[in-house]
Amino acid sequence: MSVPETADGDVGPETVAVSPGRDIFVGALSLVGGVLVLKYGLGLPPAPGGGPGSGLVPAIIGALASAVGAILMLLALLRLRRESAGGRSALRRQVGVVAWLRRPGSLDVVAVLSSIAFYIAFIEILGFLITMATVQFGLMVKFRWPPISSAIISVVSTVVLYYVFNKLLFIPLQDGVLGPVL
Amino acid sequence: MINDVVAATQDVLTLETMVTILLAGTFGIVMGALPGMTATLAVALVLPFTLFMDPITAIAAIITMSATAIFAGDIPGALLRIPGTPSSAAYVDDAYLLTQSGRGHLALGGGLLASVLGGLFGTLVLILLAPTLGRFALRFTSYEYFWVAVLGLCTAVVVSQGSQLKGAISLLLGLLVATVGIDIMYGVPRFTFGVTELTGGIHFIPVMIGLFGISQVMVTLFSSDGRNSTPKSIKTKGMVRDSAKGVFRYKGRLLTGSATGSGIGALPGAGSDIAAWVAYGVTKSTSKRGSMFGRGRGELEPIVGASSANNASVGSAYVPALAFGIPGDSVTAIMIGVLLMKGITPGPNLFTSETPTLYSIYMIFILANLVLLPLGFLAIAGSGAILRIPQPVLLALIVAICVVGSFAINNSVLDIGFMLAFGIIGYFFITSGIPLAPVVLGIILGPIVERSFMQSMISSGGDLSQFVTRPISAGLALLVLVALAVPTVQHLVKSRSRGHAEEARSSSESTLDKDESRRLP
Repeated sequence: MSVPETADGDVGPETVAVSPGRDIFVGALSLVGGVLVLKYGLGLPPAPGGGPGSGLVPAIIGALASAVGAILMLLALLRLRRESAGGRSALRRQVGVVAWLRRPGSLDVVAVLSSIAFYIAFIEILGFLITMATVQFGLMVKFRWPPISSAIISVVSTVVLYYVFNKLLFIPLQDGVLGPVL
Repeated sequence: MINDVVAATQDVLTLETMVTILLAGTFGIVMGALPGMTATLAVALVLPFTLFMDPITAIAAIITMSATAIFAGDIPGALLRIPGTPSSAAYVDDAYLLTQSGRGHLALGGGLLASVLGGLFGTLVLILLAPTLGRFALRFTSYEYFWVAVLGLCTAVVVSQGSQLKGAISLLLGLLVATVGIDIMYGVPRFTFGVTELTGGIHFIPVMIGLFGISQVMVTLFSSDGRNSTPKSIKTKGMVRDSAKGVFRYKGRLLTGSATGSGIGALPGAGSDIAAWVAYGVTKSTSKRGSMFGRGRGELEPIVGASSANNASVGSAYVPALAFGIPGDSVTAIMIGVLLMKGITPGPNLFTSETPTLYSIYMIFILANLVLLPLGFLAIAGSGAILRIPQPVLLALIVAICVVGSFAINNSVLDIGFMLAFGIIGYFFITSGIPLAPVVLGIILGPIVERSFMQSMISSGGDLSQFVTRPISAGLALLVLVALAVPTVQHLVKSRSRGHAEEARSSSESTLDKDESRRLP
């Protein structure tokens, strides 16, 4: 299991407690998602003989997800009530989205996610070598590593990856604009 | 039998296989020592190589890599407080504190010895239990396979640390992902929304790389506050002697940890991550110094307990895989794929018609654990060099490997999109206290549950009673019920004993108050 981290951001095996607000959100998400999956499953055609068809398993998953979500929400609401009665400001911790964006490292995380999105968008046009080197260079610079060193490492590691995966493992990595040269 | 053993020895003791074991062991150590890389990811990345290998060599590569990677996850955990593999997370605080107090050699050397001995224990369990289960499995039909798979799903949720409800949500997401694509029974497309690429379903490798790799990068970036940037040096002189002494001191823990790991590993749907956490919990609750775990100057006892469980589960996870063809964890799921690709069908037939292959697997397990010892000590000695890769470079490289690894499975850019999406979901799950492993297990076991259920329904003409009236089916159904009831019973017992303790405390406090008031003038 990965190192659990609380909604407040403390990482460590001892800190598995999550705020009731987060549990309510998770429960609601499971409930709504479950209902949608249940509806989708019930809408699938029955078996040719009239028995349970392709929709049976999705419908069961949807029903279970909504039930589990509802129970989680209920338990979290009871916990929230108990903590509020005990004078603890459980609600204060729920305003997490703004706090999340203000946390140190949040822009680095956004950079990682954006770089993968950039790779998906440009891989067919630019090809593996250019796109991957750009992604790695961008990430290293964003993580405050010197630009010249970043450029060298990103080019070398991209070429190594290309050689290993494309030439040794025969994975057809995209050539892109460098196609005529490669 | 002797002829089979001789044939197996000839298959295993070839130059190609021995070199592969050494290379795979080294690669496993490097991958396990890199934060964010899991044993499963290491195996997934080396999967394309196995296409060009002989069956026994391919099996040797996967087994050795998973055994070495699981141990190597302890190295960055002890030095940087970043667990290299998810299964190292259970005792990362103890190992880190030991290193901080100048006893890093004990944390890593002791962990290595415990891993090797635990791994050999797990192999013994595999050798002793798999044949019996294999013969028993010959009597299994789709009804029984359905219940075995359901039992795997249940245990994955039940032994999940934290909330079982959240474990269930995680599992249901995995099961939902498994339904994407053309329905295996009736050919109806499900959740494809007109996208042709989705008709083949979502492969579990990009999902897993996203859930474990990308989410770990996000966790690392959020927790980069400088506390883990200065690794302490590791004393290599006398490391072997001190480690052996330390492990011998906790030989009882070694046994309980190995037994716990073997037991959990043998359950289809569990795995080394869950085994390590459960063994840590067992060690903590039964140790006199349990309250000191994860604090102070660090303790070796929980490392011996949980580390032996990690590697013991690697071997025993192959019990359901070889006996039933049902994966015990993600690595065995990949292994089953490789075996099928090489024309070897895991399951009861392996014990009757392919015994040399079976004995080869046993031998490879023993060799993999023995190779781990020198490789592990070398890795500990040289771990400073691996970990001296600066974090900015390391994280960028991890992202690059995750992207290429996801693409390599199906040569599809859509899989990179899935990896990205599941990376975000993985981070959300970690911060919400939702375990990640059940998602992967849901994807792996989902099709088995659905196929066996639908086959049973068709063969019985929709008669549900067949699931509980056949003797083995009924027994397995009962086991499922027991597995589901255990957390509730434990919860009730705990709350009752807590209630009694509180009552006793309040009555003794009131007696003390009365005595006090009598003494006061």
